[in-house]
Amino acid sequence: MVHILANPKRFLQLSARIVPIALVLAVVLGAVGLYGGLVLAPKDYLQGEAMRIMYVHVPAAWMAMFIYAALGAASASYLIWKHPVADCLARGASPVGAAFTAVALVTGMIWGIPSWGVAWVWDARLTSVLVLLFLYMGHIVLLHSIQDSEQASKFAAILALLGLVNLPIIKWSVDWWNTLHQPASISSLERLRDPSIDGAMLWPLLVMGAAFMFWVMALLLLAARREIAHRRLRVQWLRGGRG
Amino acid sequence: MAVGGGMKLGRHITREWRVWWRQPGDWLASLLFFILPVALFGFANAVVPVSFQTGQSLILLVLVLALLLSLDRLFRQDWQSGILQQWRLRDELGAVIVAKLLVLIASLAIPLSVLGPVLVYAVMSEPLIWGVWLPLALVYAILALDAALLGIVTAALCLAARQPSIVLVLVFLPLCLPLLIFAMGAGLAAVEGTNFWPPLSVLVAWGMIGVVVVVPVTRYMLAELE
Repeated sequence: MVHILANPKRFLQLSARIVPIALVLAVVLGAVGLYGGLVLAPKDYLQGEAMRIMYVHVPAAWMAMFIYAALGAASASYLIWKHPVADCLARGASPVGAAFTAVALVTGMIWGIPSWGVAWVWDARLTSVLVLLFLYMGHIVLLHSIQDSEQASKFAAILALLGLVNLPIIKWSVDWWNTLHQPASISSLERLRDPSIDGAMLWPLLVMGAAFMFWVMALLLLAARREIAHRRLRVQWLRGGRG
Repeated sequence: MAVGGGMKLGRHITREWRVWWRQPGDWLASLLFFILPVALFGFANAVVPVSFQTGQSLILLVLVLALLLSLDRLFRQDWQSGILQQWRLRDELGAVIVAKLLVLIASLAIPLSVLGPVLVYAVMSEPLIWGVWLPLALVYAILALDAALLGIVTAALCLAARQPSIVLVLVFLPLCLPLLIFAMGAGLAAVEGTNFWPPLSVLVAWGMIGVVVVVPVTRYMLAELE
């Protein structure tokens, strides 16, 4: 599958079909999820209405981690097989990932004020997610600060792979340390069968998670398509300049 | 073959060691950068006292920052003068990286990890307890070694960047934060007399992975440079 997508032409054809479908699914599922979360789901007995920010905060945090994993996979693929599409995906993934991490952090801070009394605490979960934002930023800066584009891609790919160590820390930080941040309510398929969150609150969250997943898929594909188009333009310009 | 490799390594270690001593400004700056903020922290602590736990955590952070200061120059002169390219052609990059790493550890990581726990007690004005000092020294030493291993990779990573010093800070510090989290956890456990081995063993594991990975990864990056 990875090797089939390595051909830019085939990738462009396939992504042109996937992007509109993913965007439509994201909008439909997002509308259903938001209606379920903001209107149908009961308010929390402790946190009241403030808990509804969860329907944006949690999927954004999931996506922040998922995009970094995708960035790591694309980087490994680029370093091992030299797939140009993998490089385009990696280049597009870090700004999208940084945006979702920032959304997760900001919504978390907004949620923290009514539930903890403070917007920010230096506990392991919050700090490790902040580190994730810095890793995305470091990746963007490194990509743009090395003049040779191919060299920049290789070095940024190594940085992305080194940064993967942060993902398990984020995931298990709430279990390894005593944190103010609550433990995961649905950390695995087993927990999904017996979650610590009421079913009426859970289904909109899962629907929002799916909506965010399709949205991210569309954004990543669009970013990769943009990068491919940019490279083609550059090649055309160079050919025109020489001719 | 092994004898030839050992001789190459010995030659590079001697060279690195000489270069290091001929440029005392570089390593002295790092050492002073470590001592000065810690001394100022001691002064501030006399006015507004903080706990011993907080103090040792802050000093761990300063140790990493002091190490960061020395990283930018690690490969820069050799790269700019073209020597790195010659070593690449002679297939000596691996030996160069190991030599630089060993000299960095011997000249900076070890002095910082020895100074660290000494300064913690000096600044915090606490009575010396060997049962606390020894684990603390171990935490400082392993953190310094791990940070040096990471530092070699990030120094090579940022070599070709337009503003290498700034990029180095942006790349090195986020990668160091997981190390700091575990080091601070181990330091805190050592001070409180609880079990400090779980977080410390994570640091040791990190170091062992680093020992295996750092040289080939750095070599790959240096070979990619024009």
